[in-house]
Amino acid sequence: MRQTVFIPAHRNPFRSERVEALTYRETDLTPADIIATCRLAHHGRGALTGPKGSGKTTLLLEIARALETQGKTPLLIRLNETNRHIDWQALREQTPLCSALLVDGAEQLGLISWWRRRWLVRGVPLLIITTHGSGRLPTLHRHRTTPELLTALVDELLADVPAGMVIPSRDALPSLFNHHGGDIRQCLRALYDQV
Amino acid sequence: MSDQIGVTLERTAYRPGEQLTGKAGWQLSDTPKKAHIRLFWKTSGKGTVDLKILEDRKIDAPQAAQLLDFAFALPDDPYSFEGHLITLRWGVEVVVGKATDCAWFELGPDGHTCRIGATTAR
Amino acid sequence: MQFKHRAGRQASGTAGKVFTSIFGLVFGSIGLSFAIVVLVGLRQTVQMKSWVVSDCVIEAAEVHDADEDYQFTVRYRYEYEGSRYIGTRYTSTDDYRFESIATKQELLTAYDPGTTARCFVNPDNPSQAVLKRETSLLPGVGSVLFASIFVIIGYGMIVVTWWPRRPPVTQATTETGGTAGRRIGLLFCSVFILIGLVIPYFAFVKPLQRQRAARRWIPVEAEVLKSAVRSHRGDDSTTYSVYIAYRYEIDGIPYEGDRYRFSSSSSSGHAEKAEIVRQHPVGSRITVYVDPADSAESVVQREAGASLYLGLIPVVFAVFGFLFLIIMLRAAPASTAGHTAGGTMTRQRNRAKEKIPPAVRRSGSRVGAFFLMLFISIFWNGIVSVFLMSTIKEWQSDQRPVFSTLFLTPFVLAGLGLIGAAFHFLLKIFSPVAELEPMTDSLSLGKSSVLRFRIRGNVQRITQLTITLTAREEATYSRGTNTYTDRHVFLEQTRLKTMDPKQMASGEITVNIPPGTMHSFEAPHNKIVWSLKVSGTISHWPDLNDEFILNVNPREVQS
Repeated sequence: MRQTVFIPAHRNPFRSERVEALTYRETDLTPADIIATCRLAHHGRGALTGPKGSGKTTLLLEIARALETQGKTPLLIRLNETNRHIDWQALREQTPLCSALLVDGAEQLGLISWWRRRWLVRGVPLLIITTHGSGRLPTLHRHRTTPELLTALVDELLADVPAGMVIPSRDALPSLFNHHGGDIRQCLRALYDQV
Repeated sequence: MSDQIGVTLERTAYRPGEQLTGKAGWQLSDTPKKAHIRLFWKTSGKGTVDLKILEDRKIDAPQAAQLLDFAFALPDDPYSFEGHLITLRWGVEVVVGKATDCAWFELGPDGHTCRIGATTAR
Repeated sequence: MQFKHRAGRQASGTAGKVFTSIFGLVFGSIGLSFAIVVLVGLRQTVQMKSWVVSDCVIEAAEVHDADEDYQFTVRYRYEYEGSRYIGTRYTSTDDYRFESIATKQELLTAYDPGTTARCFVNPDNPSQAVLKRETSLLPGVGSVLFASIFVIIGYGMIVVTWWPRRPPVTQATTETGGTAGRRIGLLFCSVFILIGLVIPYFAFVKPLQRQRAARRWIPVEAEVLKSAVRSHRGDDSTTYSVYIAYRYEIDGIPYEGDRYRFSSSSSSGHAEKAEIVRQHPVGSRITVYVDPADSAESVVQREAGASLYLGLIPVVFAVFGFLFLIIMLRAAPASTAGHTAGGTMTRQRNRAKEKIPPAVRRSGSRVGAFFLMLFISIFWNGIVSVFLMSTIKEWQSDQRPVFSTLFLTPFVLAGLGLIGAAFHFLLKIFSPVAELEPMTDSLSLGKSSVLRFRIRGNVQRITQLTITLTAREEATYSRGTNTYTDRHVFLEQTRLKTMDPKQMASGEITVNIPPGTMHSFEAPHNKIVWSLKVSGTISHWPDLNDEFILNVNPREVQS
């Protein structure tokens, strides 16, 4: 057992709202680029693919913000293990009102459900989904993670911590990255407990 | 002139069931369409943030510059607490147009936040 | 101390779904094909009901000795609306075969050439006629109903697997799920009990009764007419049985019989049966035992032999079925563990007004866990056993299937592990159960409360009982497509630690909730959970581990 200085949850640099506020960092790729590629090259249908914790959700949220700044009204649906259901009927009624539909975690729907129901939203000009594997929609961007990306994100989170706080060592980050199989989100969760 | 907004509370610690009082004020370049004062609690930490607005008071016909007093009757719970995984904080938020300010306070039977994670952290 | 676990549904990926679907498809299709075959037969039975009864004259009737059974051929003459026809069918099937020599005698007596018999003629096609028609629809309908259970379960599995899952919206949904689970459990129990009683009745009780009655049967000399090892092809293996037909005379009247033993079970192992057959060649004289009350009843071996007891094996199913039925009926309905987001929030506001029980058992059915493990174990081992049996046979037949043995080993080990796990959960069902009853209406911060506990079951087996008060933070993080829950215990007090069985059986514990800490709190992702953990160490048995969630209120305000 290691006795540590007590850091209350709301001062932990790895608390959830700070992790969620991190922006997607791939210098040569902006949300606007993704939107444009999707519109021009794929008839407004595309998917962000990649393993867990590789930043798909983060990029999708940035796309949502970018669409809002373009004056669009995106509709964002977030699916996860505890919420796997889309109310397609309600969605069908809403889609004429929105100019883009963003579905996070589309793999939760199951292939049959996806192919059976996707025609219901055929009227939406822009449909972007995040999913682990390819095959549902043309891939717009395949996400990859690197130890360097983890280090950069950790640096950003630890940039403004008060002096005296015990912070995780940067040298241990590559092995942490390997331990979690490149899942950045899991790495950051593990780091929460190391503060 | 840049927009200014602020909210202050009479005290920063309260007991359950007490009356919370404070002042909110703003000075904006344009007359805002909407203005709200909200009493809420919010969690922070390793889990996804939970937030509950207990009272959302709409200010009728807000002006470009205004100073007003407010009072909220505080509920019995939940108490403010700080743990290893979760922190729960109470606050009053003033939202005028796109400008916001927030003041935090503690709610507890002894008038302060209880620290529950202070035992062994690991 | 920090506990971590992955919350939410265990990932049931597409591979799992496909696997379940294939299983469901095979399972359902077997039932469907069976149902179709029976339905076709039923259709014929219904049609035959309208066939017209007519007299016929038997021209020839013979029973041929086939290798494995007997074949009945018959030829009869009949008239219908002035025209003459020849019939060769006994029943609706072209080729009528049977196994017992008793049937041979019955048929030859009933259809003696030259005698007049009754036949049924198809009025739409008078050239079609049979001597015997099925009249009762009951067996057919019963078989179709039985087959439809397979169809419903099999295809139901596919539908359930691919049906989009809605999140539980209200508590009612959760409870309906519980009731459905109970119904499925009851169905399982009933099937288990039925199988476990019906099979042993015919495979053990009846032969045993006959064996006892046969002690008074009289020994008579008989001549062997036929002696063979009969093979019975099953799904994955062939079993064998001894077939000896013989003739004997009682008071000058000849009788034929073919019962070797009362239990008609067949089993693997050809050699010992071949040896019996070799000892009883055709034409040899043997002693058979004849029922003095009915001279047509006879047997070669009065003693049933050890194989009779194999008929008792299915009783295990009935025992399990009964046990689970009792446990399920005794088990209380699922406790109120889950609250929805909305409900939680209302509860926060109206804490004082609502009546929340101060202590609730944390749900998690021991029976359910066992059933699940049992099902997985049966399924896994059922598949593995097919390959295992064929590999064993290869070894027996002096082949050396080294690679398939090596390949199979991890699968067999996993199967054994599953059996072990199922056994562990089974034992856990019979572990002692803790009960907790608060002596106050509510628990509050800064208040000391008395709780009464009782250990139901054999408390003597517990070597040490510990009751611990714990309080923990529970933070759930949903991002992307995964949900994780982390726990951090911030208070742990041992309230009781005893090795004295008298103190373990029942007693009272005082719980002092410190005033300067946090009350129970439940938001959608963040919780403060107070609980009382009752753990008992049981040697050579799964330990007792029960948890009761305490509802600790904020401090009582003196007004």
